[in-house]
Amino acid sequence: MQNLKTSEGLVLPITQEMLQKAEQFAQQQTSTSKHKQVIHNILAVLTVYQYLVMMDVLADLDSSDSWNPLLRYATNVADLKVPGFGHLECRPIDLQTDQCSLPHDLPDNRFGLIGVQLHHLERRARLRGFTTHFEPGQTIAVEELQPFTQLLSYLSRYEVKPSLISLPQVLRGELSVGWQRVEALLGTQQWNLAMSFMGTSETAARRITVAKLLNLGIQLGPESVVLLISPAMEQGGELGIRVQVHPSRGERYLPQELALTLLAQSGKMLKKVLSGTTDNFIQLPYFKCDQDEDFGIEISLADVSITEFFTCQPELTINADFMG
Amino acid sequence: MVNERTNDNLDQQLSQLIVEACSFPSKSFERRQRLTQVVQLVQHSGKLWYENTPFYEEVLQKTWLHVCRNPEAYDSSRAGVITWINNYLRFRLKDKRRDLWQEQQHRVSTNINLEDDLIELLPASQPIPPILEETLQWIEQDSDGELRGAHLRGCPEINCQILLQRRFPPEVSWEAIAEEFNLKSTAGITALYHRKCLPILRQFGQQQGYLENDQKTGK
Repeated sequence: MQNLKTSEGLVLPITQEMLQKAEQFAQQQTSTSKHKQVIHNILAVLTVYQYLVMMDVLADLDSSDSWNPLLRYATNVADLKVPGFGHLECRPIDLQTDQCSLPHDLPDNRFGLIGVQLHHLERRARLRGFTTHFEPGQTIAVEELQPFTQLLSYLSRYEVKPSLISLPQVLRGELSVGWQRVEALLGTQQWNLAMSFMGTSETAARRITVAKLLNLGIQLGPESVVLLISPAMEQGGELGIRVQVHPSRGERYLPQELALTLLAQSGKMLKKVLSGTTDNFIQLPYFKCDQDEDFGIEISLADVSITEFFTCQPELTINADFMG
Repeated sequence: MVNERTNDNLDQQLSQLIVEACSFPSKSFERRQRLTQVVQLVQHSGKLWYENTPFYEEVLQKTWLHVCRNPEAYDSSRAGVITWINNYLRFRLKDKRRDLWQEQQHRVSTNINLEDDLIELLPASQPIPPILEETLQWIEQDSDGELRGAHLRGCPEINCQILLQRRFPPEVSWEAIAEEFNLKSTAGITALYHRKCLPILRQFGQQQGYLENDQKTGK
């Protein structure tokens, strides 16, 4: 399909604003060599920043070391903070040698490196390549870099896994971030309807129901639904679980073709329910989980899906290992 | 004739990529990859509209952002992808030109020639910026002894105060520092530097509020 070698990289413009920023930072320096270093480093960082903005990847200049004036004095710094991943090194490539030189005092918190060729006279920069293999003080040749699009693979592969919601904790009344008491998200009528399907009267007293508002909208606009999960301790010590999805407060019906899926720990689909044209809510068949089984609940509409992960493991005391 | 065919091929490729990108959820690898390919192919085609104006690059970047954030806005029944992109680009250039004219800019457009400007900014003609002066003073005084207290194991004379003094402008190379202290490699001092010295420096910067100042005094 491509008549273009991806190894040639991506050319992006160097805007006036970028030049002005680089110049502003460079003017704080007192030596010609540092002045030049800062101009090149800041242009490289801003080029990568522009690309990430295009790709809708969150990037934070203000938290980057290269945006810290003291660090610009103290080191040869050229990084970009990518929340959720860490610091991305954005290194200018020497146009004569086709190499990047890494400073000896490179911090060990850089998760990757992008090589950037700066053609400042033509107001163009080229994202040339990406690598996760580099050492302080090293000189990397352009040929040693992988295609810069490998950064995208890295970002999707190492996305921080969402945390498991502990159902034993829910039973103790603890709410995780984003989860609320069901009354906060559903109207009384909706809630009464939900309650009648929750489970046996036996477990009713022990049942705790929590809810989360999920946004499944894409181009058509916000499409919110309310996910309910309701655990209760059964006779055998396992947790009996009811999962429901309701329209958001004020809405009468769920959107059509909304899918509610129960996933095993492995990701395998165990049960799936689809909404029709006029459903007030949908629910999964009542199921029990025990300590050894984590599970996932996936809610999807068209090509947007959200998965929440749950565990039934009782608490272990965790010793947080903090490195000094 | 051959050109027209390759043109059609390119437009078809681009159209296909846009359709595919739209079919994947936002922030997905597949969507980002295809959008990147669209930008690469268009940039490489030589068919992108170009103007030699100071704000061209800024408007081009806005155009790429528009393409990548709104691929759904492309309507294949109306025009080819390159035409769609060029139309957007040219309209935004027109808008920018009109805005600037309305502002009645008398300021000479910043046409920074990087090589020339280096000659203009020799160290001698620059007064030392206050941030640098204050920081150098803080390093020198080290009133709570924190900088001198952070040192190579067994070598209190090789400490953060010394390293920061050497590495702040005018900087001494790591090799030269290692030589000065008879060290076989730069590994120990560079590790000490980024693990201990820079965090202390960062904290000082925060206490001084240098980061806010930097943004406030931005030109």
